[in-house]
Amino acid sequence: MTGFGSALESVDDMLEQAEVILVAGPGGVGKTTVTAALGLRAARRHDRRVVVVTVDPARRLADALGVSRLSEEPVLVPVGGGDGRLWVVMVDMARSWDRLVERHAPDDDTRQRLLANSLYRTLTRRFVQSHDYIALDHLCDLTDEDRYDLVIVDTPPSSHAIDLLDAPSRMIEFFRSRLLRWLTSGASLTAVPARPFLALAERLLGAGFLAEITVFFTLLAKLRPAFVDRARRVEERLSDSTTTLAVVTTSESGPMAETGQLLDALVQRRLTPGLLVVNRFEPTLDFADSSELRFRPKLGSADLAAAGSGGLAAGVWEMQRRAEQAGSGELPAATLPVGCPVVALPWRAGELGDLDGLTRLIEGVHGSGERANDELPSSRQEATER
Amino acid sequence: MAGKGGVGRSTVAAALAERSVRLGRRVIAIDAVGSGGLSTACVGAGIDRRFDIVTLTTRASLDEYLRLYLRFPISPSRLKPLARLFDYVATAAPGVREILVIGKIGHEVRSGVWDDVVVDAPATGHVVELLTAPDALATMVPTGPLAEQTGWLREIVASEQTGVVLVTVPEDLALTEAEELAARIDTETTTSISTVIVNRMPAAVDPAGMAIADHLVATDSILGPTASLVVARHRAAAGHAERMAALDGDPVRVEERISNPVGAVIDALSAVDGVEGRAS
Repeated sequence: MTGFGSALESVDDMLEQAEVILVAGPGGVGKTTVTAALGLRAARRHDRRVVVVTVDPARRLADALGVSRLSEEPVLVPVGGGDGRLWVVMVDMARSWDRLVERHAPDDDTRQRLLANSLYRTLTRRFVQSHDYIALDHLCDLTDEDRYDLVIVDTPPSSHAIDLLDAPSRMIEFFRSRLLRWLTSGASLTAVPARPFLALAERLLGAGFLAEITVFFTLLAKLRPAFVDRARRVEERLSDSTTTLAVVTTSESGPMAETGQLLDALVQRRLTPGLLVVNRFEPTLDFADSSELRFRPKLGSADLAAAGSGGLAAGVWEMQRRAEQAGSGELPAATLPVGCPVVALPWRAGELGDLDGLTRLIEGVHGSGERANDELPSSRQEATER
Repeated sequence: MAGKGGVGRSTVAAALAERSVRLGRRVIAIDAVGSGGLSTACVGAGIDRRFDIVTLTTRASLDEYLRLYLRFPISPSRLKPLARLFDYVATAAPGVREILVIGKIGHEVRSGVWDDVVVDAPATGHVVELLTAPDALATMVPTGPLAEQTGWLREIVASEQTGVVLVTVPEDLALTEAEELAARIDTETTTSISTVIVNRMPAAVDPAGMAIADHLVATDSILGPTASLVVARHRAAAGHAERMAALDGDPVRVEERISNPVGAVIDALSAVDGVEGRAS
């Protein structure tokens, strides 16, 4: 992902050139909707064969895309004429784990015992949480197929983008750790260094459960070579120059603060996102500077007086306060270093609703994307000018 | 507090805790997300916070758990290789974090120190995982000190004094998630929903206001786009009235007040009784 971001000058550059786009951002900013809109635009405008991977089971999104349901099998979305195609895949965490086990188990016995292990079943079924690694594993599968030009991954709502990027190396580290070896080798369990762990584990879990854990980890350890190999390939895919990250936020203080932390963490790793999307951009706001995401309120008090004194005025004043808060330099996150194209998607009260709604959002990408580029040079252009 | 990401769960949690303090109750607020969102909500709201917040990061939860429940003498963070395993297990293995967090919540409820325990729960379906964690624990761990805790933890979760406050906003996707979450809480957990809060209701625009908005748009006023967004948001929210009513007979509607969102929730709650449970 290194350096790819700064080579992109607009959202269309990204949709034209990228092979993998990870969409990250705080919860509640419309990430899934933006992901779908990006996919639709890449298919309709750039004639690409696109697959969107989501872990968000929002039924509304399926409705909006005009498909009856989302599933693990890619569902074709009717995007209309042209050569572009759009599929949607919804990740089922429990089934994905089973598939990983089925694929990586060295023999039938290990496979069946692990799939039947009660600890394994409880962990993967009762806590079907968004697991970063699973989303990335799907990504790897899909890029292996020739059917798609572009894979767009809507990252799990609760995860942080940095955790996501680290997921493959965490997986490798776990499988290589001495601790897994401790757990899986009967002899070393009684060795001196393991004693505090055993004391703790027995106290915590009881001896019977400890035995079951040991069986579980022993089975899991047999999957090690295949798992490590797979995780390495996922890691390679992430660091490939055709993989990029799109960050979605809104101008509100909470999401801006989270996005600020994310961008800082990316900078520390010398990574530049390929695109920053400010969703639900209010008409009361303007970019003061998009290379440093800085806002300014657009309206003065004389303008506001025209709204009268009823509910409309109250609503307009509320919008204005929002704008002032977003533009306030006192807010720690009001100015963010960006270094990539920024697009603003206007706030639409009607929301997506259907394909037309998503298309309108796309037109939003078009309008503000171009404006952002015309009026406000991206950091790369700035760097060239300097 | 349960609900979709970004609807203001932390804001509502801060408001409930602050309101309890004002009613003279002893309250503790638990940030079960562990991201510090609850503290941020209080700072942003400019309220003079008079209650304690416990932020449960994974490591903090584990240390707390071992200290409270097992009286384990050494913090696992001090046993280096083990600390790494615990980090891995607690951050990556599903379920561990939920168990640690519900254990801490249960401990605070049982301590008898507090009249109200307010929990800012993780987004959407994760609250179901949190509420069912004691059941899952009972399935996985049949004996030992962990197993002994599941009984009373399950009683607390199922108690009438424990309730879910479902937070949503008057938008299509958020309402859909709230409906789905309400159904899951009903069928999959032993906890009931005590209150539904519709946060950030946009200002209601009357016909006179709509006429002004039309005029501003027609005359290309600089205020036109803002005015039409305000009208459109009011219409969209009004269009969701039936769905909101279906979620709960009379949900608490909180007006949008960007300068003081916590105050807006407190004001809305002041008009309604029966929101505070022992753990909510």
